[in-house]
Amino acid sequence: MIIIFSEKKDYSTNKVIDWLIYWNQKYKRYNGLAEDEVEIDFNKAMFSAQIEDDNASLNISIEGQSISNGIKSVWFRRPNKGVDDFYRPILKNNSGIPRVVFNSLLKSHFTIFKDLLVQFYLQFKNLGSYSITGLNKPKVLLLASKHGLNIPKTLITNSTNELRRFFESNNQKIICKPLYEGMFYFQKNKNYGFGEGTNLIEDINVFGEKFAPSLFQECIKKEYEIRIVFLNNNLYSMCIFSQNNTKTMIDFRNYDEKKPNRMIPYLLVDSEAQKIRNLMADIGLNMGSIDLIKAQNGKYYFLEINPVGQYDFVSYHCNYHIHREIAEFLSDEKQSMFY
Amino acid sequence: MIMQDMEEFVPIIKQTPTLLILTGMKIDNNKHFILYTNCILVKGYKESIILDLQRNSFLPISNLLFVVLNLNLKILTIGELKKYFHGQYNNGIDKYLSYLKDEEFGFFTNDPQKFPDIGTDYYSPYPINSSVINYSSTSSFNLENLFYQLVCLGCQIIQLRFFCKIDLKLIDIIINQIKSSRLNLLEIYIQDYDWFIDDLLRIVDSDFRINLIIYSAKNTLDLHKSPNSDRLFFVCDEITPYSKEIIDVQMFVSNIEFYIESLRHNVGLNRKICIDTDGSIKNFVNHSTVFGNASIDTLEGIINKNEFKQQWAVCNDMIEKCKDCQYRYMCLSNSYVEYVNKKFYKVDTCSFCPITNSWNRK
Repeated sequence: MIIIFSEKKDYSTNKVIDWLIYWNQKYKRYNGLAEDEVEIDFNKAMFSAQIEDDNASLNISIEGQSISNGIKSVWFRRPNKGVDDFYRPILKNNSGIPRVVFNSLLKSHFTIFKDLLVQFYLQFKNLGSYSITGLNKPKVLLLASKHGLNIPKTLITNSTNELRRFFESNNQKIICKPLYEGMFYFQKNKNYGFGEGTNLIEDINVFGEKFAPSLFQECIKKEYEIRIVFLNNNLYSMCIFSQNNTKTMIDFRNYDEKKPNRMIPYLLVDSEAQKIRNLMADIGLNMGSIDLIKAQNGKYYFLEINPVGQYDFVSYHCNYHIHREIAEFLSDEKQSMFY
Repeated sequence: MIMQDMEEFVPIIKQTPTLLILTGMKIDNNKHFILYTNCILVKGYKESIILDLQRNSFLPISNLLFVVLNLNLKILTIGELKKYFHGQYNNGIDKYLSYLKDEEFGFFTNDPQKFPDIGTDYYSPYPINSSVINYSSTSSFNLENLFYQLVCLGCQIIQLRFFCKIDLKLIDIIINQIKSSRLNLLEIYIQDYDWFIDDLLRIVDSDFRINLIIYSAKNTLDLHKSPNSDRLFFVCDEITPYSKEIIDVQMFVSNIEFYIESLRHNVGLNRKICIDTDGSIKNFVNHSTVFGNASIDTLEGIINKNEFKQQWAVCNDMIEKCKDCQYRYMCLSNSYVEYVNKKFYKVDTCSFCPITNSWNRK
């Protein structure tokens, strides 16, 4: 049995499952709670976890069925860190304790079980990470540098004075990037997504005295960008020529529908590839997407890692068959996990 | 297939200017010029093209330019390329390479080896990709069961043509089969029998993967302003079980998936299974070879037979006339391919002649 933790509308998961079906692989997909979801798998399920004192074994059953048997692999594609797929909030309570507080306590109880469940799953071959779904960008930059990767000069600050100093010392050309990720907010019939792209800062007089903590970096003159899909120590690289188009020069996600940036397969030089392998091993990720810049000065600059990013477009444009590779990894008794 | 916004699917044909018009700039002879990996050189008999797989377009080029670009440009610098032709084409090389760079078909680089060719492996997880079904008053096979089988085989596209009046409830039964399936598109053709517009809208509204086409339509009706009315069509043309397809530039497809498949497969027939009005299971509805019957045989049983899959593997590079055509990696045809005197021929041949590079329409 292959276990997949994902989201309801994840296209990449659908494509991998196509291969699992083709190869007659048994699988179980758990989607986190979506706003319109009424039926959730675990939610009404009775469960138990029994710890025996002989060799500390753990037996978990859901709905009376032991899940200990026959698990081949687990894929944390978009694992829901919350326990929404498990628990239902109490709607009424007469305890006098505010409902919000009560539900929070209840959630914590479910969290203990879910963490135990995931620990159980971790003993099998797994792809992706349950615990690492978002990364601390500045921390990752430091770690990347430690592993020999070039990184852009970076400033995290909430002070205009600090920003001014940085601005002047970087030729008055810097960029601002999201310090965290974008947010999604779902209401009944509307989905909201908000966040920042990467913006070029050429005039800092528009800023007030202070602002929320933000991330700034020197603006590196690009020759092209590289998006790497990292899968169990293999690197699938794609080159994006975002420099040809003023719309996409700073942030290639300002897609130009009429004249899309050229995206073609890329062969990353071995020395850089090895640094990335070491970095991913250090962080503890065996899957993710990595962004690099090839600068006009010939150097490669590491930008960031996204543990749960989209990889479908890399697979498509380069004919890498990444979905098939993932399905093969999950199905293959012989193929082992790298760490 | 009918699609309302045809324009976005028609490949954009660019025009190569002549040398007289091109100005071009001085280029660095020490660099390499390479085409972007998703721009493919295709040689035709009289004229060639650069196939742009990313932007759904193609650029006709002369066979001479083909020869120049087809050399190993990852090994030869521009200077070496010019030397190869003994300086004969320096002007043309400067101007055309600049042009191709400006139009984003290629770029200049010092590291051509960092840009490997696209792998040409073709993989599909769908034993069956598409199906065409003819259904008439004499049809005795079970449609519901047929859809169930197609869905189990991972079918992505189904075209269902009715040649008789049916109870629209039959469509409801079919929709039920495809509900939680991986099907991507269901096209239903029904003749105009003065249906109530609400009944038709209810069908297209029930599943966003459905296109409903009412043919031999009596008047040009104004489409009811429903959110889904862009999937309900009325056409006055008649559709017959063996309507001939027309090969035309408008139908060409330029993208990676299509290209990779076309290298070693017949894109039209590959992973396609069709059922005719009498239940005959065929590669395509207008072929004469019958492999079984939907009333008796399972689809899975039929596709496991090697004879059924023979037509799948005959790609355009193997077929007479097609193999000389510059459009051969963009063209989908459902024609039966016959093997005569050790050569392959399409029975329904198109009106394009690669030798004269012209369309001979009647």
